Amino acid sequence: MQKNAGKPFFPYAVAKDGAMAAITLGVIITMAVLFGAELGPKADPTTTTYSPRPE
Amino acid sequence: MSKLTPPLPKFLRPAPRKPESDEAPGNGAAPGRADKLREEAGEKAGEVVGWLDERSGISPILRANLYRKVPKGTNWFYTLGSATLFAFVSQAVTGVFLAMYYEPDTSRAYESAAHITNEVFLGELVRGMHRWGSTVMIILIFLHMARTFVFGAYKYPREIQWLIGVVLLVLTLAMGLTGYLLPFDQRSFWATTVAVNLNASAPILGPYIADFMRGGSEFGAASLARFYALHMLLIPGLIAALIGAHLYLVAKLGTTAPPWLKADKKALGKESV
Repeated sequence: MQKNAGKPFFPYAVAKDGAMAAITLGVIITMAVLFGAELGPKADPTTTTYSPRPE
Repeated sequence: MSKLTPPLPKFLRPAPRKPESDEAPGNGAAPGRADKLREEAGEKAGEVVGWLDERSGISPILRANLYRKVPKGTNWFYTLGSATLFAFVSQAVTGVFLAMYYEPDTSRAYESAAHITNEVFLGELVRGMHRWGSTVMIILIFLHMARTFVFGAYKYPREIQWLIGVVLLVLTLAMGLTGYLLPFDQRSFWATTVAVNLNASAPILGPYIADFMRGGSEFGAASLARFYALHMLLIPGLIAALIGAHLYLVAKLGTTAPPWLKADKKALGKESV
């Protein structure tokens, strides 16, 4: 019932979804460029002093 | 009315012939030729579509899905689900590129991760996108879930969609856990050790779960291979399949109207008659 009063999925909802996808990609790339992906020292099971803490 | 397949879009319908008088005399042959070419191109496009449709029957399905009506009042909150899907696709694409260079071996994993980060062309960007994409995907899942909950979109007849969504959430968190170990630096190794020990402290099944995750009683080469296989093959396959089911239900049941929209009494009356 509500459906008949609405707009077609294409192109209206698709355009919104596409814009949101672009924003998502933009955020991901921005974070990747700004913060990168850290890589600490190699894993060593024999260390006893390392204290793992959440970032 | 709503059960009928929407008509073919305009550009696929054969165009009516132009009256001859449209071609202004003295304008040269160029417009006529362009028109003819355009017409031929249209016919060829129609032939290709016809060839595909005759063999697959896809045209009515595509039309029914693309031109289906979305309720009035849908807003930007309704894009969170597709944004999550997009984040998953981004993870899949960057993941494939990372897999081209990554070596799931305790003696080589860290070196290959360092190679990706420091030497491979745009390697750090792709690794960064995969790392931050996972965070973005999990945030988007929770926002999508919140929207579904607040708008009451989980109610009848969409309960199965909600259940599948919850499984997808758990699988995505499992992706985060299994992926965390793969760079094999101190942080990922010890954080994963903590996570496995947390599981080990669960009642009754805990020790068995921990043994399963480690691939034995000790953390070692088997653990890394196991996390890699889960992260690369099993969980993404499950996620892709369940996203398919999730989307099938979206297409079948349609988008939920926002809760503040009142049902149209007249239309309701008509449908029940």
